[in-house]
Amino acid sequence: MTKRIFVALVLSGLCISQAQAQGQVDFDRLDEKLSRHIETKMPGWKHRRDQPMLNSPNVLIEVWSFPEKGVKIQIVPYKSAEEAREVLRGFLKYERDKEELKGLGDEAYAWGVKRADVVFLRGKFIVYVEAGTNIDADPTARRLSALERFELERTEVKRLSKEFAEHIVGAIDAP
Amino acid sequence: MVTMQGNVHDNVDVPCPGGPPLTNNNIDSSRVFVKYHYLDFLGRDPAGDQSHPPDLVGWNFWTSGISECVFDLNCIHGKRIATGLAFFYSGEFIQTDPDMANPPGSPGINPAIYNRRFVYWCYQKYLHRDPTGDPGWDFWTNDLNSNGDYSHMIDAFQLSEDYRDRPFF
Repeated sequence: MTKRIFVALVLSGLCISQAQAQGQVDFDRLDEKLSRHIETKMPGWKHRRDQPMLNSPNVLIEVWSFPEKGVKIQIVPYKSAEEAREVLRGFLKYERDKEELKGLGDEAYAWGVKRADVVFLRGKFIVYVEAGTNIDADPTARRLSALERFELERTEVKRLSKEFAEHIVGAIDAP
Repeated sequence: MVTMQGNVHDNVDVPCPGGPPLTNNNIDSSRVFVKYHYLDFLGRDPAGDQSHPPDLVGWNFWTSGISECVFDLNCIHGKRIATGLAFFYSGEFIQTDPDMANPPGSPGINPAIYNRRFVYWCYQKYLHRDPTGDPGWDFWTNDLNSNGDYSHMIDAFQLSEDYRDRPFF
């Protein structure tokens, strides 16, 4: 009897480690798909995989950079598309500045002060995309008023976030 | 670099004697650090945006609160945490979520509700993602429940690679 219990424990342990390893393989594969896809669409951009916050194993983070520009991508998988949709609702519940983006993923929004960060659903994934740019790198921007600079920065980061978001959808959908 | 003798060498940045190590992360700039607290917690750009006038007085106040530490790294560290807490406890932020209405020290605080929500907003505001389903949310909530140390929580998020790798400009 003791032997049977021992065997059962070993087998269940193997199953759990296999499941964990599978999760890891999936992120590695997704990371590779994203990198390959975006590298071809955005030549010159460099990227690295980032370490999530302590005890947050279920998020894939990639940071893409170009001189005076950067993009952070976070991809979180859920058990189902319904669960992901529910979490997205909660995320946007208190967000005052949001705008629905049609035609991106299954459901997408621009949010934040500049309405330039993008969050979208694709299947069971929620994807967060945040872009930044140093508009002062453009000498003409330094001569603009604060509001004009805000608008210029907003337009540029929104364009970048959306462009990356579209590539991410392509990468997720790729075989 | 200009030597003590006034000789100019290659334009290589070197740390000031006794100063902090060099960094190329913009969030290490006090002004940028404060700017992003305005953007993330208050939903407005301190330089002014389409819906809000500039708040240069406030931006300068919080920035100089940190920069007056000069090269004292412990002082800078402490002031950055205090600044984060100040934004968390600001009336402007509190009013966005009823669960945040009674911060520590107020008579109505219910740690069971407040702490979990506090950690939620750390993920939302510092990392820009929802922690639902993330084991880290439970982990940090349990940590906060066990020690009641909100500064420690802010510190963990501010120093995380996850936060520091956001595209700050």
